[in-house]
Amino acid sequence: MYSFETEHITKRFGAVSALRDVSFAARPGTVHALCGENGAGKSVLSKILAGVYRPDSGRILVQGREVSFSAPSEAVRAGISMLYQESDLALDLTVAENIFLGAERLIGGKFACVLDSDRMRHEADDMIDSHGFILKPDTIVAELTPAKRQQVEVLKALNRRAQVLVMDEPTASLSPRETQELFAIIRGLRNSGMTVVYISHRLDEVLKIADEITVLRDGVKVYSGARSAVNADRVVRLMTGSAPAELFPTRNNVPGALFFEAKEISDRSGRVRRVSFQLRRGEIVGLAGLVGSGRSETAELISGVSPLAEGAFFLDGEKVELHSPRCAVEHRIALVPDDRTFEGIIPALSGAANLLLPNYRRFGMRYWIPRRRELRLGETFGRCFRLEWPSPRTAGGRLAAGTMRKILIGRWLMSDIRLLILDEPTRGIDVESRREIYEFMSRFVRRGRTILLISSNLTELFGMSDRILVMRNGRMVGNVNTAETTREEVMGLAAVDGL
Amino acid sequence: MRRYSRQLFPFCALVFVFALFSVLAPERFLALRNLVNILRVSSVTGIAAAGMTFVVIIGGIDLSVGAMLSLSAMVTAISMLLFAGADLSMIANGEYVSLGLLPMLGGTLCGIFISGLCGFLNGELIARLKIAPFLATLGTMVVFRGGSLLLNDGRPAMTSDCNWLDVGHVLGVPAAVVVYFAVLLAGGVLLQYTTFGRYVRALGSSPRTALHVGIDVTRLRVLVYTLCGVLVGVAGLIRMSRASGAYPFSAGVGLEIDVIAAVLIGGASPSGGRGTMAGSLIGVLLVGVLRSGMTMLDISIYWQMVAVGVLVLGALAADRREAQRLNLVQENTGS
Repeated sequence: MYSFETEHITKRFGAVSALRDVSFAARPGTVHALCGENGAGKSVLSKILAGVYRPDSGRILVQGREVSFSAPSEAVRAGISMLYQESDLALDLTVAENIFLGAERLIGGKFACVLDSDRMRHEADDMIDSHGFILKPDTIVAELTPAKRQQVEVLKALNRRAQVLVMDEPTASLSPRETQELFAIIRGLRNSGMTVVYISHRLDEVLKIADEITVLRDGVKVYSGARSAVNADRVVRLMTGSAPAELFPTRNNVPGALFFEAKEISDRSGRVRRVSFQLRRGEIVGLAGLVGSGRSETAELISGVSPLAEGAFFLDGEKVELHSPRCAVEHRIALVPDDRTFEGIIPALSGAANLLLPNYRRFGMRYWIPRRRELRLGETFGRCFRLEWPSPRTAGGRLAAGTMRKILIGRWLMSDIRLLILDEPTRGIDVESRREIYEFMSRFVRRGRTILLISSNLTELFGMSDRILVMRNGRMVGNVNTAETTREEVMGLAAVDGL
Repeated sequence: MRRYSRQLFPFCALVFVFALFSVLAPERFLALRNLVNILRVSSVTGIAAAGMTFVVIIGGIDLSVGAMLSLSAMVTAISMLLFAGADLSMIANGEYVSLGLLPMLGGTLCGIFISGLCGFLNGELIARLKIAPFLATLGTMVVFRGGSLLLNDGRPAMTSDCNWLDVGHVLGVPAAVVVYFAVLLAGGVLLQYTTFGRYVRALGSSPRTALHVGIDVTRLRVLVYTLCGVLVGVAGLIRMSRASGAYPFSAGVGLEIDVIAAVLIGGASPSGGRGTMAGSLIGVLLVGVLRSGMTMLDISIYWQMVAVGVLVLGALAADRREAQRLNLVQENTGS
């Protein structure tokens, strides 16, 4: 008997298909890891399980009975609790109040409404003791560390008689020691007969804690089986997929002169710490690292989206201030952010307008936009980027995923930008569009311009980059030539905590 | 056709309400004089609504338009009188002052400048200090109303000579209506054929993208609120002409409700990104026809308030349903 099963789950968000025909199930008393790169559909699947999203098609069974959740509270009632990446506690309430939130103990009979605070405090204390946690029921949750808050969430779930506990990246904000403690807790829950669904892209942790592993790639289940049947290499291959070599254009460019330098840059939140690197003209530089390693934050610093706390940028040897994206664009630096749901496409504007958005001035339309010229440019560049749209007039929101992605990148490829930062540029699109995007990228740098490519997809990084920078925990930990390194080395640099 | 689908429902509602009153009060409601009058009366709301459309498209709101109208009308009236050589005691006593063309033009410019400044202030509070638009303009609403009362110590400023915008005609069309249609046309062109309009729609639809493509979003927000202010100034001028003076206690009271109602009924989305001049025209007419028709049928002004409120809520509900249909709201948050 499974504690839950999902059968043939499919979920789309607009043009993006997040899950395609995914079935997976877990037994009581196991830790079942859900692996996959970013955007593979792990979070969507877990949110469907937790009643946050409704699947477009497919069934969910809990203890063998079919269920349909229209709200998270219904999933909780069915015994499925989720621990979100962002804590789901009421920060101004105490530990005990949080544990009993929505399930308060009351004084009196059926129509009671007076809180039995003493009883709740005692019961909370008993629960804390029986799990060996070090918590006080009266502490305000806001004063607790992330690790302690997680323990409160676990107790809250247990108090709701959770049979299945879904944990989404539970170690994201934990220290190595706290991670070990969490693992002890998870093992305790498993031994008491619970199902723990453990979602993480940290492979070493997954392999340590899981009994069963399910791997998703691009919204499709590619593996489900016992942990003991796979090793790290196999899982990495399953997650990334072995893409055919001809996906990537052959490139034989020679990088030119140094033109951009970041010196000891840090951001205000401490997620980027004293990072330095240099970029040359005409090169594609990969930026590897786990999510949370500070890759995207570094990109935001360079493109002026978030402010520098310390350090400086140099363009052609001269110090430049990049306070805002506008400022960065004026220095001919642009960012295409990680954008799974195509927020960067303005749904109500035409495809042509979406493509021209940063380029009106460049094409002589500083104030005035003649419809004709806009359409003609849309047609020209549409052909150039092989956009599959009914017409340049078609609203952006009605385009296919691959076309949207090509517009998001194409709007900068056609501009006069000389440093383009791409964060996960080929997420969630078909192989053909991907191949074309790689081709456009290589054409772009051939003219002496530079791309900084952030990707969780190692195949992509190795297929496209001249060299690869590696970040871990907000620091730059590696700078290797693609030709002289291996996936294992890069993965090792990115994932192994050297503390 | 799809492009106009957002306006289809309000348009049908307009036709329906129009037909209803034509049946219920055929002699009075359908009289040409009344129809022209609806347009004339609606022009104040309409011109302000044209400005508000831009504000709503960028995902903002301006509650201060009514008070701003009052302030700009007061400034217009008082500066006209001062330019015409009146002294402060004459203005305070409401004495008749004859106004020439130049004082009128000067006063007009002063009034529009002040309301533009008011809009600019709203924009700065919202774009630079990052105060939520609803709250920022709630605050300035009180400031502007207070300011307009202060100017002549709560008394009106009478400008009986300046009434051309109310009584004048251009080729047989009331001047106020001509101004309104000119504003609509200019607004439509601005929205459809200029980078300003393009960026406004981009900003409302996806602020993060607007930022990333290098649009100066702070400046754009300030510009939009300033534009709204300027148009409110124009509306204030018409309001002042109609009343032969500026009445700081009553001018523009409740205007913000009619204006916001018209814009939302016209299919603009309070979450930003969507809205058109044609839509806001339909919204303005619907509110205008409703009020006029109900007045003809001797339905109390209080019921009119209820009706306008219900219309706003209906428009808001329709917008949410539309958003859900477009899968913009994806999460089942508890309900």
